[in-house]
Amino acid sequence: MASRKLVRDLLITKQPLLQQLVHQRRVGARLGLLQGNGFASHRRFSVFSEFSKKIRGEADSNPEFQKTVKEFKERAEELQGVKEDLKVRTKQTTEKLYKQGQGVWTEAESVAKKVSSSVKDKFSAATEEVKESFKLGKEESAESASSSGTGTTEGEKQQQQSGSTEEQDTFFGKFKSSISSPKLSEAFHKPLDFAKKGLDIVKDELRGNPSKRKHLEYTPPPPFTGERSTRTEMVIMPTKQSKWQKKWESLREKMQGYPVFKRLSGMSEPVVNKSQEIAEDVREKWETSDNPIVHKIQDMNERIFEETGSASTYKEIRRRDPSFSLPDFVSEIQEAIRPVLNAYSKGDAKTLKKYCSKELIERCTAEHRAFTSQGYFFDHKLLHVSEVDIQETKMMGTTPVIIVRFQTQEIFCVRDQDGKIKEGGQDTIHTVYYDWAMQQVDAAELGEDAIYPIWRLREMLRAGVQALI
Amino acid sequence: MAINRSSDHESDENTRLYHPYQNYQVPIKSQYLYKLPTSPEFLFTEESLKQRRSWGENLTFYTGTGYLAGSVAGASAGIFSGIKSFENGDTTKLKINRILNSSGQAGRTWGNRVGIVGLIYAGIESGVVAVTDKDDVWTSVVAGLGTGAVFRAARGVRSAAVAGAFGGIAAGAVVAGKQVFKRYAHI
Repeated sequence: MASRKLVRDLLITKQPLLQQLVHQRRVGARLGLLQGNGFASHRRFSVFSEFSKKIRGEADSNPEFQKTVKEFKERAEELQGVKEDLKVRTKQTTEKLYKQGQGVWTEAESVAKKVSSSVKDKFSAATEEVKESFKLGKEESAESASSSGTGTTEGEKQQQQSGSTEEQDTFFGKFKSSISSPKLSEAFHKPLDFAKKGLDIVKDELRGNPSKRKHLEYTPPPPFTGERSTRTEMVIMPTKQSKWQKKWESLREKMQGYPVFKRLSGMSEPVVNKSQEIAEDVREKWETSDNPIVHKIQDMNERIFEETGSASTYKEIRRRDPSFSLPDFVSEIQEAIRPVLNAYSKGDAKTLKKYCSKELIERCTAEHRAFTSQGYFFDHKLLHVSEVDIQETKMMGTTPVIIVRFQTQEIFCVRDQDGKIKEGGQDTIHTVYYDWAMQQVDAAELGEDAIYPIWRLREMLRAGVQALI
Repeated sequence: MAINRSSDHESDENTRLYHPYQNYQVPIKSQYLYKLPTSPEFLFTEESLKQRRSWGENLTFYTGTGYLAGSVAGASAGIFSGIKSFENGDTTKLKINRILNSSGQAGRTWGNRVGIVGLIYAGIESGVVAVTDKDDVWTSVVAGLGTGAVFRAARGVRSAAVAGAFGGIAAGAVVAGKQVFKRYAHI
């Protein structure tokens, strides 16, 4: 900037100088003529002196020249001022930078100090809490020792007890406060969660899985509170293909593009048809032959590889109820035997409706009505129920049936209207063998809300009644 | 002859002299033809240091002891539950019937369960000892863990895991308790 200014100023000042020089040349020409006429020996010295005299005269007489000179001086002074300003500015900027650096460093130091002070404060607070809690513990032990040592009046004893209880409260309160502090809770949160999960799992295992669905009892599902849509349109959706399927499809398309595979596919159709016809002919001959050896082979095949009734029944049960478990089913029957038999002997239709089908309920009511009209009143007591065994599993029509057997010990006692004993006795014990046929009931028969099928008692058979000495 | 007899008696202490005609009054002068050992023989000295039941004896011991303990415990509990189930108007016959029924059923059930657990434990422990050639606390812990897992495997993976953990802890506790008992009881 300064150099440019200098150059500009010089150019501006040179213009009037050049004009003056041009003017001086004209003046020089006149001087030469005069000198040729007068003095030949002093020509050179006189020229220079005249020249200087003329210049001075021009300067004194010409105001423009004076102005230009003044301006030149002023601008030179300005340049000096500019230099000084530059020096001052550089000093100022360096000082500013230095100060800024110092400020940043001081700010960083202050921030670090603040952080360290806060951390120290927190740590000191935590340590103080711990110390206070431990001190409280020590004080409690000391006070308990002192109270046991000294013999005081009842009032003072009560006061000390109340004091100790209060301090215990504060002790536990401080422990709670220390535990409730966020850092400690964050530190111990995860292991506590794991421990809780483990305890929950162990409790579930010890309870014996109550969340499982029962097979004998119908439990309606919870009511649906959301909105139900009335739309029943069918929409075609593309199936999701995995990466390998996509690759296989692309590979197959590539292969089908080749002419060799086209020819092979063209040739394969008649081969397949021919082989199928041959196979059908062979099968027909085998099935319609009259050779006794072939018949024996067919019978053996059917006997060995045919599916049994139990297998087909289990398949049907699992198809309808995938979560069916036979041991669970047996344990549920074991629990249901006592209420069902008591209800049956008393003719309690309400209880029987839970477990039995309509046919059995009608049979029970009919028997009860007949015996009552004849004057027989049964006073049965169930003493013991043995374990339940599964005898058979079969299909009855389109519904699966499981037949179970168990044994009971009962008191056999028949009374008349007046309460006298007609048959048996008050302590006559009979062993009775029961066969129960449990039938699966479809969900559609239970009601609209039912989702899963349940099992009900379809038939009951008493057998093998004999006295037990 | 006398000198030879005395020297034979004095020299071999672990043997006894066998006289084939000891019980017969036969006038034969040739005596002490054989010398038989009085203790079992081992090919290697390390074998005589081990004191452990074989796998078959172990199986029988654990199964039988388990069944017996389970039966006795179940029967005792059954007796008490039978007594609790008495009703008003029960005669002596009915009371005896209730007690016998409940104790018999509970004893049978618990005997079977504990016997099965003992059987599985014995099998797994013998297997572990055969594989690792060690018999210490960790062997019992591993056997307990395997027993619990096998016993509850049919119920599902979670049940098997919980039962395995419980079994391992129980086996370790029993063995540790046994060692402590031996150390401090001086029996």
